[in-house]
Amino acid sequence: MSDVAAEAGRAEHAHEEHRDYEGAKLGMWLFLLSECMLFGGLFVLYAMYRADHPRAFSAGGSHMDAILGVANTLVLLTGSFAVASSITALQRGRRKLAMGLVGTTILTGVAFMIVKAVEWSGHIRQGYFPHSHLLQGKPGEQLFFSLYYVMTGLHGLHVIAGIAVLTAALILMARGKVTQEHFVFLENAALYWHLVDIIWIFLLPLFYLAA
Amino acid sequence: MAHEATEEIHVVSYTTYTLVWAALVGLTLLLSSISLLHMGGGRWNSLAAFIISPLKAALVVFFFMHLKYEKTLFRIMLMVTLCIIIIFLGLTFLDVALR
Amino acid sequence: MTTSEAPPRAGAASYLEDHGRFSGIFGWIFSTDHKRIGILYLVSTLFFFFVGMSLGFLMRLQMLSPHGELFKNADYYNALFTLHGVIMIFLFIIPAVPGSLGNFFMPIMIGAKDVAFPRLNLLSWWLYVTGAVIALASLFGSGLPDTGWTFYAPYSLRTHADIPMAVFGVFVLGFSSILTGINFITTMHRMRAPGMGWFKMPLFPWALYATSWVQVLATPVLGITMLLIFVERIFHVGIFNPAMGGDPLLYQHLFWMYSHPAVYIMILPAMGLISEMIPTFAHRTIFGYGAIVWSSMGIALLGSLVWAHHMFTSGLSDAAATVFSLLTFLVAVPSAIKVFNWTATLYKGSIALEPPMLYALSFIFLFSVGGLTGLILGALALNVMLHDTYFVVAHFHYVIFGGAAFAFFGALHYWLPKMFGRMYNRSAAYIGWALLFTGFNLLYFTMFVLGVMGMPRRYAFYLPRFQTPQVIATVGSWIMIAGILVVFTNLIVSVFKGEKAGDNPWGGVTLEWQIPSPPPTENFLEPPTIPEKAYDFEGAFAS
Repeated sequence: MSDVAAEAGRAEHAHEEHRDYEGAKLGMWLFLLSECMLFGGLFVLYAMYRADHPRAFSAGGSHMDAILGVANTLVLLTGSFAVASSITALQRGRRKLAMGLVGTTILTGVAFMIVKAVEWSGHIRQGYFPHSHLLQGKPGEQLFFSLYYVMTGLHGLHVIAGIAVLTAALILMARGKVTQEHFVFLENAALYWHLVDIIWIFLLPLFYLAA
Repeated sequence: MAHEATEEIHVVSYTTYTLVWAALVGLTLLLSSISLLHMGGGRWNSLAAFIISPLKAALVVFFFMHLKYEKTLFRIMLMVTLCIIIIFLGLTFLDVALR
Repeated sequence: MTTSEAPPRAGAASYLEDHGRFSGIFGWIFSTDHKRIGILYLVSTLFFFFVGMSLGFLMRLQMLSPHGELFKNADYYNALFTLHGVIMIFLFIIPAVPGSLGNFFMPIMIGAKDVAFPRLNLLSWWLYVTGAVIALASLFGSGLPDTGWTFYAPYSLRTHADIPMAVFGVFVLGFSSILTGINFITTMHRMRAPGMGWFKMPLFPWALYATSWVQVLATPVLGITMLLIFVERIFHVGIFNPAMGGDPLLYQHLFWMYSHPAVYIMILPAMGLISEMIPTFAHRTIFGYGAIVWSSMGIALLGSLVWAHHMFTSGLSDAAATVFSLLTFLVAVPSAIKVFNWTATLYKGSIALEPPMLYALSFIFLFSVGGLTGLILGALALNVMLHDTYFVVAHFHYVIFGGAAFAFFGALHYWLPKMFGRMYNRSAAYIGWALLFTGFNLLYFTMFVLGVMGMPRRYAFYLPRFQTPQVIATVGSWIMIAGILVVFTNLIVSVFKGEKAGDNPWGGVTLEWQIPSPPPTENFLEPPTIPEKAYDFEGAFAS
C-alpha cells in the first residue's frame, strides 16, 4: 500500500528505453567500493610491512621528491574541483562551460602523468628499483620501493582509465548524448575521477611524506 | 525522460566547490609542511597524516562526490566497506605484530 | 533489446523463440536477455563441471595403487589436482548458481523485466569466457601447472609453470564475478515490482543479495593478490618473495581474505535454492523467514572474518589463531539457524518426495556433515593433526559438492520445467539421485577416515596401509560419476524431448510460477500479483 506509493516513481516498464538515474549511480558506487577493496589489499600490505620495517620505510621516504608529490596532489585536487563544477555547469544548461571544465580535468590528468613519468625515470636513473645494486641487502627498502612502484603504478593506470572515461564524456557531451537532462554519465565519470583523487590523497603521506 | 525529472536533483553551487577546493589545498599544504619541516621533531608526522588525510578524503566524498546529498543507503555502503578494510587491517596485524 | 520489426505484442513470444536482433548462435551469445544469459552460464559452467569431473576421475584412478595406477611421475598428478581445483572453483561453482539460476530467476522472482544493467550482464559472461580461455591457455606455456589452486607464494614465484597467464585469467574471472554482483545488488534495490517489499522477496533473491555483497567486496582482494603475483613474476618486484624481504604469509592472508568468503559465494545461493524447494514440496510456509534472511547477511559478514583458519599450522601468531578459531565457531551459528528453520518447515508439512525434494533433503544431511566437520577443523588442536590431510578434502567436498552442487542439481530438477517448459523422466531422476548420493558418500566419507588415518592430500603416492580405503573411495567415485551421467542425460534429453510440463507443475507460490513456461521475453505480460507475504501457501490454497 504505502509501498506502492513509494515505488510509483520507479522504473516504468512501458517505456522502451529504461533509464534509472539512481540505479546508474548505485551501480557506479558499488564499483567504486570494489575499487576501494582492491587498493585496500595494498594498504593492508603496506601497513604490515611498515610495521615490520619502520626505519627502512623512513629511509625509503627520504629518497622521494616530496615537492613533486605535493605538486601532483594539488594538480589532481584542481582537476577534481573542475570536474565537480562541470556537473553543476551542465545542470544549469551551460554546456560549453561544462565541456571546458572536463577538458581542464583531462589536462590535469595528463600533467599528473607527465610528472609521474619524470619521477619514475628519476628513481630508476638513480638506481632505486627492485633488484638494483643500491637496494641489495636492504629488504625493508626493497619492499618500500616495490610497494611504491606497484601502488603508484596501479594508481597511474586508474588515472589513464579516468582520462579515457572523461574523454568519452566529453565526446558524448559534444554529440548531445550527455545533456542537461541526462547527465548521469558525466556524474559517474566524475565519481570515478574523485576516487582516483582520494587514493592519491592517501598515497601522498604513505610514500612522499614517509621520511 | 519524465523519470529523471521526477527525482529530486541537488545542484551544488560553484561557491561550495570552491570552498572545498580551498580547504583541500590548505590541508595538503598543512600536512606537507608539518612533515617536511619536521614540526615537533617529526613526532606529529604520522599523527598528522592519520588525521588530515581521512579529513581530505571525507571532503571529497561528501561534497565532490555528493554523498552529503545522497540517500542513507550510500552512506551505509561506504561505512560497511571502510569497516571491513579496518577489520582486515586489525586482524592481519594481530598476526604480524604478535608472531 | 527489442526486435526491429515489432511482433503484435512485443515480448509475448517465449525467450527460446525470440532471438532478438541476431539469429542462430549469435542470438544467444549477443543476447542481453537475462534468461538467455542464464542459459549461456548454465551451458558453460556445466561444460567446465564435466571437465573438472573427468580430472577428478583420473585423480581417483591414480589412487588405486600405492605406487600410482596411472603415472609414476608426480608432476602429472600435481597438474591434475591443480586443474581440478582451478576449474571446479573458478569456472564452475563460483559462477554456476548466481550466473545461471540467479540470472534466470532472480529478476522474475522480484517481478522485474530484466536485470538493472543488461549489457553489463552480457559483458560479465564474456569476461567469464575470456578469463576461462586465458586460464586454460596457461597450460600450453612453459610447464604443467603444479601450485594447487591456491597459487601459494613463494613457490608460485619460481615454478616453471606459466603462472602469470593463469593468475591473469583468475583476475579476469574475478572481474566478471564483481560485475555480476554489482548488477544483482542494483537490480534488487531498483527493479522490484511495485508492492514487492524487501521482506516479501523470496529467499533465493535474498541469498543472492548477500552473495553479491561478498562478490563485490571480497573479490577485489583476490584481484589485487593475483595482480601482485603477476607483477612479481613479470617485473621482478619483491612483494611476497622472502629473498627480497617479502612475507609469504601475507600472501596467504590476502588470498584467504577472498577465498574463504568465496566459499560463501558458493554456498549462500545454494542455501537460497533449498529455501525455495523445501516450502514448495512441504506445501508449507517457510518457518522463520526473517531468521533465514538475517542469517544469510550474518554469514556474509562473519564469513569474511575467519580467513586465517586456513593458516593455523603456518606459523600464525597464537593470539591471531585463537581469535580466528573463535570467529570460525561463531559462523556456525547462522548456518545452524538455517538448518533448524528448514527442518522446522518440514514439521507437519505435506511432504512430496519429488526429485528436487530428495536433493534438498540430501543437502541438509550432507551440509550438516560438512559443516560439523568444519567445526572440528576450526578447533586449534585438532587442526594441527588434520591439516592438509584427506579430512580437509572430504570436509570441503561435503560442503561444496554435497552442499552447493547438490542444491544446484536439485534446483535444475525444480526449475527445468519452467526454463524449457518440459518435464524429465522421474524414474531416471530417482535412479540418478540414488547413484549420486551413494557414490558421493562412499567416496568422501572414506576420505574422512583416510584423513584421520593420516593420509596427506595432494600426494601422488602413498603407504600400502592406506590402499583398502583408497580403493573403496575410487569405487565410490565410479558410482558417483555413473549417477551424474544418468542425471544429466535425463535432463538434457528432457530439454529437447520431454513431455510438456504445465506452468506450475509443483504448485509453487513464488512469482516465477505465475508466468508461462518457458517464460516470455518480457517475463510478465501483465503486472504480477504480489502475494501478501512470501511463500503464502494458506492464501494459495484458500483461493
